[in-house]
Amino acid sequence: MFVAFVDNVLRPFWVLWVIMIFTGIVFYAYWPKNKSRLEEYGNIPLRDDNEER
Amino acid sequence: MFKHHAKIETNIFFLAVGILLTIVVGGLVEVVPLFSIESTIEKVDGVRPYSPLEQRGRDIYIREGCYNCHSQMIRPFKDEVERYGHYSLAAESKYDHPFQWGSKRTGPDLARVGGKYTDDWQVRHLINPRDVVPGSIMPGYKHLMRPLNYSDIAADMKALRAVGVPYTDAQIANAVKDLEEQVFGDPAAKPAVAASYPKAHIGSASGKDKVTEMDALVAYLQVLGTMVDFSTVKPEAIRR
Amino acid sequence: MSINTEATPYCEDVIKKFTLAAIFWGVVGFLAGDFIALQLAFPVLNLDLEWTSFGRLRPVHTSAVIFAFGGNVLFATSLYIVQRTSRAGLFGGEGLGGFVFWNFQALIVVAALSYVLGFSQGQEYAEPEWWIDLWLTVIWVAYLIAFAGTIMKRKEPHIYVANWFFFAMILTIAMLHLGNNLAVPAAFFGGSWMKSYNVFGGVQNAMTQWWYGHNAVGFFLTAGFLGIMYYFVPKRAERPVYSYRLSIVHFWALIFLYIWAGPHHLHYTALPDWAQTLGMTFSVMLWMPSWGGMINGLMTLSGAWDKLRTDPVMRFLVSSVAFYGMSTFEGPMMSIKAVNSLSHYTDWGIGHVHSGALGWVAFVSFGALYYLVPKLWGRKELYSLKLVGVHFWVATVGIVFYITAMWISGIMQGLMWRAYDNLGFLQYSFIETVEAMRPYYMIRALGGFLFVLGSLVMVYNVWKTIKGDVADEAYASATSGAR
Repeated sequence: MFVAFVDNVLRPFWVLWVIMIFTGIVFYAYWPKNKSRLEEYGNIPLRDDNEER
Repeated sequence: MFKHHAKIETNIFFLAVGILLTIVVGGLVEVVPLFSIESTIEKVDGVRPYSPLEQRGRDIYIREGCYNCHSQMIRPFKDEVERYGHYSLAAESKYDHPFQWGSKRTGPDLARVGGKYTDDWQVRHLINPRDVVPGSIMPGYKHLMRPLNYSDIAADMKALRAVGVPYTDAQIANAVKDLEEQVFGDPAAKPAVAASYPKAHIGSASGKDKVTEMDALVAYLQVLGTMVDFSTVKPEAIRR
Repeated sequence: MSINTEATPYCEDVIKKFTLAAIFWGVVGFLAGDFIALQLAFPVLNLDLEWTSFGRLRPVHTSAVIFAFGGNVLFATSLYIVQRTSRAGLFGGEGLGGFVFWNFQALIVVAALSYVLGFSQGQEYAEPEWWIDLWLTVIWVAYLIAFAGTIMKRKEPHIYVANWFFFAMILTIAMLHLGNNLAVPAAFFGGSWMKSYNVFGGVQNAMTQWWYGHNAVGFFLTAGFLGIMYYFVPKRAERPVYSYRLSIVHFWALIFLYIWAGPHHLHYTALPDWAQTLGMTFSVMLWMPSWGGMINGLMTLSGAWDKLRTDPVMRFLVSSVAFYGMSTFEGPMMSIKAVNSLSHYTDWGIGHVHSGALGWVAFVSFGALYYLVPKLWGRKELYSLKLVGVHFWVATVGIVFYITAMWISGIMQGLMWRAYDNLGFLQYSFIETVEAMRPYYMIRALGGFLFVLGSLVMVYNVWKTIKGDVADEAYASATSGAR
């Protein structure tokens, strides 16, 4: 049954579900509300505990 | 949905599940159907498991890393078919564990090298390639003239049977005898090994009184690409 | 090493060990590569000995550079980064780290010896026999525990994106390693302990091998080293990554698309056409996240482009990203079937791999190592930034020699194979195409020699830095520019 699902659904319709997942991720990442929160994460490497400089 | 991604970013277990789902799906869609779809392997006659001597030769081929410079996969292009012979079928390597299609042709393709050269040429070429092909850059393999170790050949055949190569009990029981007979038997007398492994190349390539590694490797090279008789193959059986 | 008493107790001894091991194996692997390159130009160098023939030494080279050099770089950087970005000490401490370190080094030596002595599974980049594979699995699980455990005890709520890349690398390599090395040992039937047969044969084995082989590139040599980029480029530039949101898209798109690309190694073979087409399509699509990542890395420098001029360490990091962009453009192009029909089986493939391996993987590693060494040994800066510049230029010229020689020889060989004379016969015998390669093999070996030379400059510089020496010029350029 699982193999049949792969053969008959996942393989023929890969374009469809790939596009759906991809747009989902892009929407999430670029949703205006998430901007400040996400970009703030970029500072994590620069906030190092014991930087002796 | 967006809240879920925030979970993935902050929880290593969710991140792990997300990554695993992402990487598993590609493998499933590409690999799984190869085992189920009928057309993956063509239905042609003649492909048989390697004889004990050929299999030992194949082990030496792998040991010396021949696959680093030689492919065994003729592509369906005019020039390749003219240079090497009929393009390779999936069926022809179905008993190859591991496959040796290769990825680089520093030297020529070997998929159909069987029968192209005499045993004598093969031996001289393997000992010092530049003796017969002056511009060759292949290493010499004079150490192959040493005796072959084949006391445990039956164990290898059992392991191969476990991964799906259809050796019979009789073939495994006769492994050592078949191996020696393929070197020292008389081709005219139709030895048992030739019945068990049709088209097996009978004879001592190295001419020594013991079975050498050279005999095994040459027997393997001489059978490559010769199992399928393409004059009897119907085109629709191999159409892709 | 830290002055701050309230600081997180980072485990850095093990990072130091991995750093030194990476440098050591790097030089060994580059030397092995240049030696086998010379063998192709001068076959007498095979020495007519079974242990020194090209066929046995080539796996030594590939394993040494990919797994010994690349692996130790990844261990050093990932375990450093995961501690810093989690603000937590290594899970399992120096004990677990040391376990991974010593077992991994021993495994490298055993694997290399096994190839030279003639033991091999006969699948590229997966040559070690079955019990070495099992040993590696144990090491890898210990590494996973150390890495994931550190993330679990982190003080930083968010898992920094570099760690996603490392984590995807660890999980995927585990899956690929287990999937591709499924083999039945002859020892189970009373045979040799050094021989096994893969459970897959023929076309299925071809598919699993290149599913493994291509994703070893995709996850070990790309995802893992992108983790390095996402930490060390911002760190050295002293500014956050250009777009964190782009990095999220980059991550998911990259790991999703990469896993499908393997069949482009099997174009026009007996692999079914539908699988070849899927592999080609995904390989071409892969160009997008690759360049997304490249833009993210390069643009991190926007507003600080002068560092390229003043800081040779930055130059290594940024050039590596540029090389990444170049080879991830070339790759999708070569995966198009029409191009592949010419390029496959030729030196073009070797050139492509090396523009990625030398230009991207090794350069980003050099950048990271030059950053790490002074940090780990508590030095203000490297012994000599000028020598980093020397390393950079010598290695860059080496790469240019290497890849242009391989482009020319690859395309030439592909064209010669398919050339017909005006009577309709194949124009060249195979050996004529081999002889035509010779000058390019010499140029390639020269390029490789320069690359080795550059790495020796690095060894000297690192050694002097650890000793605590400072070349006079170091401060002049360091204080005014980079730092």
